[in-house]
Amino acid sequence: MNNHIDYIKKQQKPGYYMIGAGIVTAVVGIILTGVISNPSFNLRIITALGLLFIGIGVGRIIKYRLTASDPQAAARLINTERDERLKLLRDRSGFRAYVISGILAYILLMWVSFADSGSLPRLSDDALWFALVAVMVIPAVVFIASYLYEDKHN
Amino acid sequence: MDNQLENLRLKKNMTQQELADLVGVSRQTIISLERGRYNPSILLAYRLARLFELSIEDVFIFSEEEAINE
Repeated sequence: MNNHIDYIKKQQKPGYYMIGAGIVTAVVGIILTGVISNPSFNLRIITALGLLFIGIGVGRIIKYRLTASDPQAAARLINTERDERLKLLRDRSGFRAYVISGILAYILLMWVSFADSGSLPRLSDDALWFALVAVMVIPAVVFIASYLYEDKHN
Repeated sequence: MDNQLENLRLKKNMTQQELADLVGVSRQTIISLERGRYNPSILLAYRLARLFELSIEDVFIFSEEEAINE
């Protein structure tokens, strides 16, 4: 059981690193916003990225800290993380999402290439943005749907 | 794959969660195994068989036909 607690404590470390990196990034973003008067892009993006890192780090620490004082809960969390069936479900769903992502990225790449030579209509900035969102969101939806399907049938 | 897991577990008065904790998997995996929806790895099959002091063949029933359809 002590091994489980050690494992849980070890898993929290990347969370602290993430918070550290987030604070540094956010501070750099804030400083640059104050120093550079005419930036070529919105420097708040850097601050937002730092806040995102902090959020991810806090989330990870909370996830593991909740079980750190309870050896049984820690053991169950580890069992779930290492569970061979859940790994299989993730692998299968991840592969399907990867294939869909590749197909969508290929289609978009081909479209942009053909549009450049005049064979297809050019995508407007908005259309390109929506296409990029689709390339990101559709594989995530495929992953979730595939995971739920596999979970029901395996 | 058919198996005797549920019968063996009930004989030992164990809950699915207790069995899961003993072999180091999630409760959902025990449920899937008992329903015959999931075929375990050789390592997990061995761990389960050893827990019930039986051989793998006594716990899991191999069917050639099922293996072909898989």
